Amino acid sequence: MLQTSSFSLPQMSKPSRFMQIVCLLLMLLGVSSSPAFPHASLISSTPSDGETVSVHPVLAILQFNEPVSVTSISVIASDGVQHSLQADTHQDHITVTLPSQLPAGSQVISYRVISADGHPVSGSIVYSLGAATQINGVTVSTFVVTSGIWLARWGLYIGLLGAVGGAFFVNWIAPAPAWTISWLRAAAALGVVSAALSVGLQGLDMLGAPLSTLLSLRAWAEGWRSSLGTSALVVALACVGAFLSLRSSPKILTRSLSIVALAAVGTAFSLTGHASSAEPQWLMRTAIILHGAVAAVWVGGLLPLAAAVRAAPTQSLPAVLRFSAVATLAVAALAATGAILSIIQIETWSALLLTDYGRLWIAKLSVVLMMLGLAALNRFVLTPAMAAGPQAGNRLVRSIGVESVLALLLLAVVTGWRFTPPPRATSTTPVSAIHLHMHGIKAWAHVGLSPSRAGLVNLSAMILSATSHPIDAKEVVFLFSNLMAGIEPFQRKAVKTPDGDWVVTMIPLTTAGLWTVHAEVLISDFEKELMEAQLKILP
Amino acid sequence: MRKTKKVIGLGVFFLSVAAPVTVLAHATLEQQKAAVGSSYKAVIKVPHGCGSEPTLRLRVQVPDGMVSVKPMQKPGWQLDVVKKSYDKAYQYRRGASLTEGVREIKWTGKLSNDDYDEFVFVGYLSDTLKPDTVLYFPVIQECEKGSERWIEIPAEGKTSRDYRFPAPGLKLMLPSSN
Repeated sequence: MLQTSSFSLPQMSKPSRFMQIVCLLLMLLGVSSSPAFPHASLISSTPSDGETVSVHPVLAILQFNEPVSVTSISVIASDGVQHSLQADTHQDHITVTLPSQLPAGSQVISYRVISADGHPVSGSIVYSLGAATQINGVTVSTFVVTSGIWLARWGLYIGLLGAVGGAFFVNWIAPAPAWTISWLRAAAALGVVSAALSVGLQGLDMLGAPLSTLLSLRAWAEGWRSSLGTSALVVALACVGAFLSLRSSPKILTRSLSIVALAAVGTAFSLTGHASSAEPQWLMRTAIILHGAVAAVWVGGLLPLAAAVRAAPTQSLPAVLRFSAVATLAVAALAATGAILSIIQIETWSALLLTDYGRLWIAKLSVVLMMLGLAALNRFVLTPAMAAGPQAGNRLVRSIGVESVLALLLLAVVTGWRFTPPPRATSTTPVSAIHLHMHGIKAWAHVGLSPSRAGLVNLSAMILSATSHPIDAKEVVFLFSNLMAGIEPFQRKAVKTPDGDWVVTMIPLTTAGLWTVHAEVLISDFEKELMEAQLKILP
Repeated sequence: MRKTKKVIGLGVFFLSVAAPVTVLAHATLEQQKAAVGSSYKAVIKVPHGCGSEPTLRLRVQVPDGMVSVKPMQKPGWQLDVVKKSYDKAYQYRRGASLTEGVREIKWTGKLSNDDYDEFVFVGYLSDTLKPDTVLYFPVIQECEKGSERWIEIPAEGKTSRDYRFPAPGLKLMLPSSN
């Protein structure tokens, strides 16, 4: 140890210089003779790693095997917000007061401590409040929130299609009585309010938060950031456009405004939802835009049509004929675009019966067929009879009334798709999975993680030798960290399946971004292979 | 020069104070430098059990190139060795060729988590070992539940500091000229 005594010392004049030298000497001695590595490790914690608690704990306690001091400790809540925590150190354990209002889901307590000899040690504990954060950002929302989402979406469809389609009818097909215009304005207002509510509810759904927190800024910010945010904005603009186009003049302006609103309907639908993310994008998006706009023409035209016929049962024949011509084109366009969307989304005949998405599709098509039956009756029987007298006109009004009720039912069914992924999305798992190759010296691992979105992720790994033969490893442990998000590594032990794969389920990779995965493979008692890879988790 | 001595004295003093703290750490070797072609007494320092449990067995893997290994008995501990052939024949002192010997040592007993202990064996560092490299002695601490495996060997460009459970390492030096 004294070999460092030959170290030549400069002349010392100040005590600070003196201390510097002492420190330097200590470091030299420490490095050259005894690089003993410290090892403070977390023995236990409350809540413990992986635990699910029903009531949120006030305190968290971290027990180490030796005295530590805290550099930083924070909790990354299930909504991705990082809260710095104040720690009280009591020798070998530390206590922290947790924030009182954390949203449900998986919370990560990330710590950095310094052991007695000055070596930093870091790690994370993941616990869940209520239930662990769900896969794909689809959280388990309460029945109330789910019903709210459904109602708001239904209101959005009714208001949007009613107002925009109605405005189109009034501007291009035939004028409508004043009371109808008021109804259409009310529909536009319903559309705007529902669109706004949808954003907040979507936020709650993503956070897994209860309805009582609807007024929190966080829920709205979250909803706004999702694809629904932009879509809802376009919906609101379309409704405003329809509202303005209901003015009587100038005709040129209101007419073009109603067309713009119609285009906005399709655009709004193409900005969010399952279909707009499917390939080929150009085809899917075009089909959605057309489908949405044309649906508005048909559905939204029903009320002003009925009103016009009721006001003048016989004189309104030209208007009915004009709508009939437009509606025929509309039905053709709806059928064509609907077929394209269905084929790509559903993929197989069996999926129609076996998936919720398929069952909703059957329900929707049943309602559509009923509406088409009525439309055919209106067009081929009731419309020609109109010339004969007012009786046929009244029957036509009743028929259109039934058709409108069916249209409302149809929109209610369509809303259900918000809650079911199409067979395409569920059958093509590789799309949402990540595959990694992790390389060591004596072994490598083929690792699959799915889904690739923030939430609970499942991992499956095949461990192979350098020559790609399966290795019967004794133990496999994975560590996950996301230092950008402030999440220090937390570890999960893999379980061996009968086919020799190693799996870890429900890994809380709850924050989007670049994660680092370490694999520690125990090949034999004395041989461990360490591998590292990075993966990108989408929001 | 008086001042210099004082500084060194202080340094040694600080180190002696710091030392008991620094050994509250990984399983490590007491003497972490040795010349190839010489005898080496390995003292494995074990500062604690697995987390909070006592250590019930300590296993050391004798690295390739360390031959003619003899472990030291410990009172209260049962000693077992695993003898196997070496990866190749090694030249020992005076031209003797060794092809087999102790490859693993096991001490079975009980070391409370609150206590510190040392495990000793001697052997010869073959002159075929490369100076300026590190020879690693993987150690397993077996406890009531689970074990702590000090078996991680740094990859190229990394040091033991980059690992959570590094194997104790011995820096090999050039043979001394005399």
